[in-house]
Amino acid sequence: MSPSTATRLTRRSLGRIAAATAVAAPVAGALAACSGEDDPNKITFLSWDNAEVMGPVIEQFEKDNPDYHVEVQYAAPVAGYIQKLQTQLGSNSATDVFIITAENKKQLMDGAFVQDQSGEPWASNLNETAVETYSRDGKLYGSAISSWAGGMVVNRDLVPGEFPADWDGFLDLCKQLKADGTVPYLEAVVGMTDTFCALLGQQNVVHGGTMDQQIWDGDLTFEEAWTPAVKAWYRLFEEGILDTSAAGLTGDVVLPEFQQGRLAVMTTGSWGISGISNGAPDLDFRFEAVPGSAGEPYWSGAVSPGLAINVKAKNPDAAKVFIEWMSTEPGVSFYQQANQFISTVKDYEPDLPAQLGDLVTAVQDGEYYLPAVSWIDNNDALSTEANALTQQLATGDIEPVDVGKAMDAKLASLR
Amino acid sequence: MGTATAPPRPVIRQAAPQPTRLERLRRRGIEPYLFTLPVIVVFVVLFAVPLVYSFYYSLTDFNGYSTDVNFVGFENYTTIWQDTSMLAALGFTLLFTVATTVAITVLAIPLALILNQKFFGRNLVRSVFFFPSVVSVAILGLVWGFILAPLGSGVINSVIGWFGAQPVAWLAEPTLAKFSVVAVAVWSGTGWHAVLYLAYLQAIPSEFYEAASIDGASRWQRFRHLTLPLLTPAITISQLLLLTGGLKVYDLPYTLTGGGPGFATRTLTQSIIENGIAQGEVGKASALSVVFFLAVGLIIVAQLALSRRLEARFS
Repeated sequence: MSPSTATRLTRRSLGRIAAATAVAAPVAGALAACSGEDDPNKITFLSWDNAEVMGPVIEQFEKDNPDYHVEVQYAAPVAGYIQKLQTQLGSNSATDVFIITAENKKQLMDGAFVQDQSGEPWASNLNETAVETYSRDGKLYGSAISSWAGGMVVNRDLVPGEFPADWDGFLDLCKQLKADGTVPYLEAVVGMTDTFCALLGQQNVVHGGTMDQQIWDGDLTFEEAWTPAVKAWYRLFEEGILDTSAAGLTGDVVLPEFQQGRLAVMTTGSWGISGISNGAPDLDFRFEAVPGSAGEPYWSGAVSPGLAINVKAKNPDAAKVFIEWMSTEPGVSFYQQANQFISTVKDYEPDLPAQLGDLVTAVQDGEYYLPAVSWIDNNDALSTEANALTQQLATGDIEPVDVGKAMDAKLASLR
Repeated sequence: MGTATAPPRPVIRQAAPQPTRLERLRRRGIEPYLFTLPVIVVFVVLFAVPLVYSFYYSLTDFNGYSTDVNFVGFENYTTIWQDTSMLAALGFTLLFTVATTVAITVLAIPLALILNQKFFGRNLVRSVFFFPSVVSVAILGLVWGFILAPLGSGVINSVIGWFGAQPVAWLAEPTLAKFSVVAVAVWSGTGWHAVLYLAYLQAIPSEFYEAASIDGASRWQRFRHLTLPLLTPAITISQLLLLTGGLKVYDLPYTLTGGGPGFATRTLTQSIIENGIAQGEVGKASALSVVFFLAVGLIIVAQLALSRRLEARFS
């Protein structure tokens, strides 16, 4: 007997409803599925380094601490990382351990998102500059185990003698090299360069190391503090050592010129050493501080990002085990050997390449300066402005004195 | 007397009562709603809710972290017009959108006409022109960074150097940097849009052209009065995609120039991202997003209205 029309319709309807439900169910399921079990030995960590760098470190931690395991998430620095962390904190889903850095330290401290680590056993193992960078009111909110510095890298075959210690001597050297047919110096002016920052660092020393605090307190202006350094840097353009094309260069374009021996001096950070050596294993080069325009030679640089504990961490004790391992000899030595950074912790002396020269001592002594880290607040808004102004100066759109004026105006607009 | 046949009674067709809305819904069943539910959920969760939140945040001083959010009225909307970097971003974004839309349209239609001809190696040539749109725009930006490098060792500067010319600061001089970004975008997008036009060209019956030829129409007349009108729907779609893509462009200028030199090639999306995320000015970035959303909406509505008029005129 054939089924009645009504029965057929009912079957068809049922079929449709089943199909529609099958389509809709996964969506509902996906929206509903947000739960997980509690495991007191699980450490969740939002890594700043990628899986290639951090993966082996985590493996080693779990080998050294078999009771614990780390669940890692990765986000690429800087904007991507900040965004992900911001979203996680906003939705109460942030990991137990995450990174505190110049770009987010004010917001993390202001919002009380991070735990005080000042009384923890590993805190005394950290370098003073690192502690100062991530401290406020005597409380330590991040454990940084390394720092970096940037300066000039010199091809010793093209510049065999003593590297000048003063700015005039450096400009003379560049002119001499240029007259001999060698490209003397290049820097990628994608923003504030290492040289630019180091010259500002020399001004910071002139102002007793509190230049930015004085600016924020209203005792000094950017125009007063910066103009001598900006004028010194601009002499590179006025005296024909650099031209406007520097504003269109990137580090990737400059590096091969140096590796292939066509360039006498370039700038980079300490992390750049492996890139130079890998591409030109026989090249004789050495890092040098930026020659002194106002005082002694100086470096650009900053304390590296630190590890912070979420104030709402599910397993704060496990998080502390992880940070203690990462901030003391077992973790630092493994991490350092794998990644060749300049560790600054007290219980471990890294074995670093000789080409870094005085840079290592400068890093360990905290003799470096980076405006974006030193500024009291609005670091990123001011960085964006300063980077653009540096490029506009390089392209000749503004004069050196305009840089400080524009920075004063920007700071005023942000207050 | 014959029997008079009674005239048939007029059949009064009673108009069926109009079903109520509830009845119509009941007859339709719930299946259509269940089928569209995933799309509705996705739309609400990923579009409507963020949009409402953006508008809300644009009226506050929210910094992305703090829960202490204060209502500031329309202050953020006035601030964005005082920020030189945002104004520069607005200017370049509009320039990029208009320039790429015009240039790609002007180049893609003739290219599609050529690719529609029969010639040896046609499929290879089509693939070659389509290829730039396959590669990630961010990778294209990095590769073109080397090609346009301002040093003598840059690819283009090496070529012009063979003829004795001095290296050109393609990405270092503001006007040249703008031109370079637009040129790379046109290079990467023309092939894709040519393929779109090609698909429409292939749908035009050849009889139309045969009839036009018999009527003595020249090549130009056939293009002007036959091909172009029949391509109008394709032009509408292509320009819609170019306008929306251009207005929200981010990856190519960012990877090629980082928005520089200065703020010369900064885009609105870069401003929104940097203000909202890196600088913790979510309120300001949200205000910019709302303005941007409304501007894009208006431009798209205007473009569609204009295109429909053109389609109606040509059809």
